[in-house]
Amino acid sequence: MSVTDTQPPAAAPLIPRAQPPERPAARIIRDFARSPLALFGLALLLVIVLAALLAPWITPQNPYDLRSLSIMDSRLAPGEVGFSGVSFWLGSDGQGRDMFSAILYGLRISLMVGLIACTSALLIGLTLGLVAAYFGGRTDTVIMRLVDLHLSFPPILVALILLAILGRGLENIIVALIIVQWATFARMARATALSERGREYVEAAQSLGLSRIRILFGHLLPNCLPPLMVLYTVEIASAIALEATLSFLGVGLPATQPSLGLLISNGFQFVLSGQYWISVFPGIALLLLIVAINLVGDRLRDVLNPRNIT
Amino acid sequence: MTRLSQFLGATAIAALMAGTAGAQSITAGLAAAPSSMDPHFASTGQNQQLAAVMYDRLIHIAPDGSFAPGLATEWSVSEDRLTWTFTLREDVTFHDGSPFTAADVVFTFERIPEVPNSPAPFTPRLAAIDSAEAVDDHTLVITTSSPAPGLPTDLSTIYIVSQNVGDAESADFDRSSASIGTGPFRQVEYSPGERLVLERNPDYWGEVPDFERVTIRFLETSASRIASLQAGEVDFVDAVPPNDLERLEATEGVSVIAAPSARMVYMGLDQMEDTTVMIDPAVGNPFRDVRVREALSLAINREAIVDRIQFGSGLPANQFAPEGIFGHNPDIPALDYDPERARELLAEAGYGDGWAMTIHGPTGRYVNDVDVLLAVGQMWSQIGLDIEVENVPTNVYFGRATDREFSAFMVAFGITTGESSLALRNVLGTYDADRGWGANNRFRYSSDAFDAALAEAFEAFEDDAREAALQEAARIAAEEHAIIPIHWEGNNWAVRGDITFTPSPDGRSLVTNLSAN
Repeated sequence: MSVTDTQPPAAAPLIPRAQPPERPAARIIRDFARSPLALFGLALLLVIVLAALLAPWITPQNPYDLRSLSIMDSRLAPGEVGFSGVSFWLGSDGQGRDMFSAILYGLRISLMVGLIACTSALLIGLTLGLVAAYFGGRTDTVIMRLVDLHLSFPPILVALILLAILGRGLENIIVALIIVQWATFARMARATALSERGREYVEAAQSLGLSRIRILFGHLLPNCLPPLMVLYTVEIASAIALEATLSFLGVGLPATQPSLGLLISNGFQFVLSGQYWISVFPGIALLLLIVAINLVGDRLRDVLNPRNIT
Repeated sequence: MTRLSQFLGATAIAALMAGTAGAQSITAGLAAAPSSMDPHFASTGQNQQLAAVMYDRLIHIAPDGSFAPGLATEWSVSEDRLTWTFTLREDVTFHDGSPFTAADVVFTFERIPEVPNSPAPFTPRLAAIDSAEAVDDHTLVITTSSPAPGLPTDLSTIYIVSQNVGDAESADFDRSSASIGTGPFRQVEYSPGERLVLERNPDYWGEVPDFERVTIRFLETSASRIASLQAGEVDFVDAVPPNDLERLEATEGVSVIAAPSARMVYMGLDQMEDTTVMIDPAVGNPFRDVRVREALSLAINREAIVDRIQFGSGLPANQFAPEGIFGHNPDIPALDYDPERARELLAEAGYGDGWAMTIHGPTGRYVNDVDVLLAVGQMWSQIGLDIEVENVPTNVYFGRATDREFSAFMVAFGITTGESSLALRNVLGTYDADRGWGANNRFRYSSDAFDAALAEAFEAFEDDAREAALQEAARIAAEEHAIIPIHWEGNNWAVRGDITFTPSPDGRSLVTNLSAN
């Protein structure tokens, strides 16, 4: 990630470098590794991502394939052997889904939803934020008032209304999350770009007569990225949590493809009768995922903050 | 209360002393609040289960499904089958002390069509009546324009009010000022959506309730209903979710009463044309073949659904009318679970490779409906079909089902009249809007033999002939696998302390069915 480095345009070799000499990826990795907690978070995240990616090969059951489920295996306690001879290490839910398999598949959905939604929201928010900051004036006012309006509603409320209109489903929940999150990115992108806009390298680029588009995306953008990357990581975690909340409330993903939130919600009704595993294990998985992302995100913020660079 | 009940001991003594024993008052928590306290406003279940304890009817339905005397002690129909004569009970008084006469019945009949804005009017139940006349105080003569064998059934849901009600509006019943009936309880106080206070009517002609005063609280969310019972704030709750049964049974001082209802959950299969909306036209419409329908029925493990998903609440079903409902056919065999045979039948019908389709069901309309539909999806997948399951929000589900947007879908029909004729006519009768048949036949099953048998039931005056015709219709539908019955839902109640609740076949939460031990 050599994003802190602004290469001067090749066509203008006489312009001095606008930033201190480059110490890019190597410095970031070194700084990052100084925190054992962050390393632990990163390792945990890697394990989770790997497990989610490999789920079809390492789980005993495909919980989304109705053929492989049997309600005769429903609500088995952790470790019990089911009707079909399979061992349910983390127990099974009301439909006879193996909790271990369901959790890994659920993590896949959570990660996918989080990544797609946040990346799209980042792209939209970043573009609008940069445009607002660079052009200023009426453009800025229009975009930023829209952002203000957007941020004045609680995200969960906006998402609930959107899903009530759009209906359940994976695409719809991703659309809802993008709509909920773009404004956060736009505001951050604008704030960062505004502070960068007065810097000498922008003036230099302008005096060279470079096009606005080129200055925006070739010069401003790379320098705005570090704080946005931090926000991006944290927002992935909140998108995952929001998806889980929506699924828990029954407006998220369909019942045939339970994400972590839906698994927790399905098990909720059994907690009081002692069948804790249906809710608790997916809950732990969700917790670990979000904690891991946040540990990584926190450390990234420290590492990428220019004020911390010595 | 405990000491009192120990003192009373034998139930015989308790029954004898019921009149004096009860300075007791109890509180009930019911799930469904009524839309009005006007007994003629809506014929919905939640309205009727309250109206029935305050307002009496001419004819009662006995637990075995037969007719029993209510405010009318006897009735007979003339030779030409157009004139009915009812002898009314004497010495019955209304809650305001005025005597009950035939004029009150005539007044009630006249009032019902005048009640405005009813979402589910009682008028169809009076449609057969041409005129009603009070010959003397205790003789009522009803004439019908054509023979109406269904009249006693209709009259069993008409709640008689006093003519002193005059031109009172529905709101006056909510204010308790117009609530004048002859039932076992009288209305004392009502606040909409919150509570209803009833007081015992000591002059009731039948069995006087054990409790002096019953307060009904409307607790819509099941969690708060259960919590209120456990906290001792209410003594009786209805609509206990099956998932909570085990836990409640283990709670000290609480007992659970479970009874299967007459509400059958089934899968409807679109049989109208040679193609169906959810299945590739190249495959055709497999549901037109009776072997396919039988195979789909054989693939369902009903015991497992009741046991694993409904926690043992309810019963595997094979026809609309469970035992105890008029029209139940005891000769229809229980539906087997035999996936092997199901696969064979599919192969015989030329669908050995199965087909792909999405099946549909509502969310939250029936008990654990999402899980039941998923289980059906599992079981059908296991005989070689490629099934997707879609749970549709209830508010749009029924509209879409009626617009025939589904091929295989889950619905339930509850019998509330004590007999199977409406279920058979509305769900299985050949769809005919003009005739009023097949209103719920969204899958367009159509059988001439079935229609003929059912028509006979609607024309029969004698109970035996009617029952035989209904049983025959049920047999035909079962033989042709018109629908795939799944289960009769269970009704569950819970009481605390020394109270007993005796469910009635209609499954209603009647506070008159509560008694002190």
